[in-house]
Amino acid sequence: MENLAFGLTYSVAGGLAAVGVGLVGAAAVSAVGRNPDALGTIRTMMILAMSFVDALGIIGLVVALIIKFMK
Amino acid sequence: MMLLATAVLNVSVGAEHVLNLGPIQINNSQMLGLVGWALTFWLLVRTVRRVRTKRYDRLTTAVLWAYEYLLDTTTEVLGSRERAQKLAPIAISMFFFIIVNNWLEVLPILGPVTWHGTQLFRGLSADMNFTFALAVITFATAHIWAIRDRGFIGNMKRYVHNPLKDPVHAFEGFLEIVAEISRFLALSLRLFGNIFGGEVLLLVISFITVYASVLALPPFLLFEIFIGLIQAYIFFMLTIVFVSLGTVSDTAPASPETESLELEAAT
Repeated sequence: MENLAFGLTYSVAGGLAAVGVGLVGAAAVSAVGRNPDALGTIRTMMILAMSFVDALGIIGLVVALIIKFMK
Repeated sequence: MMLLATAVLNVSVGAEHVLNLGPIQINNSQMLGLVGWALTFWLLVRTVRRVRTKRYDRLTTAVLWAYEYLLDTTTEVLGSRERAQKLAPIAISMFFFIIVNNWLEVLPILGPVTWHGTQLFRGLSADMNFTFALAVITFATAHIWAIRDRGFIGNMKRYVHNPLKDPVHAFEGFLEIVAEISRFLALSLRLFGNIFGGEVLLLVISFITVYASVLALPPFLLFEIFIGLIQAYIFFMLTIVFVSLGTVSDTAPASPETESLELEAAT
């Protein structure tokens, strides 16, 4: 049961964070396609937005690790 | 597989207690934190001395470049150079302290050096107490700035309205309180989670590629260095954004659209 909780916590959080990062990346790529001059600004903003998204995924990972290792 | 079955992956979520200095308990994250504090202090003092005597080298130039870049970002967010120079000392020294501690975390002394069975060093940002304290400092700064700009009553007016006279704003104020708490928690958990997750990632990678870890680890170490830089920058960015949310900009009033965008990015 604990292993199931670990796997589900990690995989749901990670999967949804992956969707979010994919959306951010797709938006950044299409923005660069429209306006290639703004590459530097868009890259910075993309990394910023991505780290906001993956913070949630990583918090999911931490919660999963707490389930697994703190008893 | 036998090797994997016998070795036990041991991850501790909190910092562990290593030694006593009189009545003070020292945790393993504080051990590395002292090193990181000394390094940050040395780095900044050295830069100042080198700049005063005009002996530039690569490290000095790099620190100066980072300082200029961060000061420009602060100016952009806060709207004026004077205010940026007032906020810069705390925000930028936080950035340097976090980045030095994040980069210390990839050193190979972290796992193998043990003291009575517990590891002697642990990344400072991988300790929840530290990130929580940083978030407390950030929010104290934000509210001090808000009170200085709007006055104590004015700051309270962001959150509390009379529900009989103005129910819509009262509800909005309640939501603002919830948003403030969630921002606070997310700020501390983001840094902690990223660095702690990175430590666990390195541990797991070296655990599953037993003897090939010499080849497998370097890309992940590079990735962790990158993450450490990004997280320090994010923390700095969020600090100044939170401060600018509470203050009234005296040069250009923020349009409601940009303010809502900043709010979305912050939460």
